[in-house]
Amino acid sequence: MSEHRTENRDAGSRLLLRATELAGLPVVSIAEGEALAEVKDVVYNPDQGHLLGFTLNQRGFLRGPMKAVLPMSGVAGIGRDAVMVTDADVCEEKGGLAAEAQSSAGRNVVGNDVLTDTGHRLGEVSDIIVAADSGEVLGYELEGDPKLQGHAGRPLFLPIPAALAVSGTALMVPASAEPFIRDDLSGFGAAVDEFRSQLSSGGAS
Amino acid sequence: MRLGDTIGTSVVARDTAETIGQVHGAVVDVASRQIVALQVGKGHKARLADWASITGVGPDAAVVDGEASLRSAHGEREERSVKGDIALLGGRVLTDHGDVLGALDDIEFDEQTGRIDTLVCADAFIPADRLLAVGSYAVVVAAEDSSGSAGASDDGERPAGG
Repeated sequence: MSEHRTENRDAGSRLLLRATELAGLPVVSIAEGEALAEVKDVVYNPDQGHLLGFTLNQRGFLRGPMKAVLPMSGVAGIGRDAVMVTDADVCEEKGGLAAEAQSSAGRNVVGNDVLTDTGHRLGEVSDIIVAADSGEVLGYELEGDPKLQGHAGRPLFLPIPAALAVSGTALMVPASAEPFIRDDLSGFGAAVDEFRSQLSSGGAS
Repeated sequence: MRLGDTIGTSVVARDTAETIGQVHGAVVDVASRQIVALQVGKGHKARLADWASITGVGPDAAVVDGEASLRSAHGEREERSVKGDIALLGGRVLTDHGDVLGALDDIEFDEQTGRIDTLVCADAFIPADRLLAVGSYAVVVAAEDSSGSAGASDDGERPAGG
């Protein structure tokens, strides 16, 4: 059975997960207790602040990519060990998500450079941080730029600002996001909330 | 009584007092939280004793009306259950939030009615009303509602069952 892993929860004890941790999780139906598939990758569009769904792999002997995709609307829960769906009918082969999954190739922000609007490179996006309960994307994990003071070479966590430009090669963030960068995932949820409240109050310090 | 304690006990016919097999498992109906049949024997020889034909389940034997009351598995679900394809004892217990609680150690049931009272999992007791599904991948249970600390244990101590 599953070993105890370090869990990352934010102030509201929401479970935070990396997109890469979701890959490989079984997709299990609550109604039957059957594993229907396995998560291949997340479908994410940086213009929307949440996961759109998942691409799937067949489990077992017939292992390999499936045509069917799982839209977020069919997801009942995302946990450490499984993605839960109500029943097998929620996966779909056609429709907007299937098209999105092909066009965006899942998550094209990974590998992007992160630049502040003052012209500093903070690092490169290495992963997406997801709130497990809602599928909301809270931020990105970065491989910190070697020149970055105090953070050199360490993984960093960047909250997603309300407005953000993504070009497919680079991600533009306001310089005001920099103080909210965290070295570790614990406390990251609080940093996201702080940053958002700062944005909504309109005050750039 | 615990299901684990009945596994391996003899199945004895009430009309002939003959041992006709051993308990190898149980067929569970999730909707009614009920053990609906005991599995007698295993493999292609496996047969089922409906709960109605069982006169008593004790620590030493399960007594059925007679050998004639045993039947073969009907339908996909019973056949898979008999084949061991449906995870029961030893299967992983998964919450509807997607977290594994551990392996299903045992099932406590009422030996009169066959009604399931609690699931025993990783030293915790899960009330049967949280049971949602029993499948080949997992036993699915509703996660604890306590929004605060999502702990593993329900009630700390309980008298040791039968």
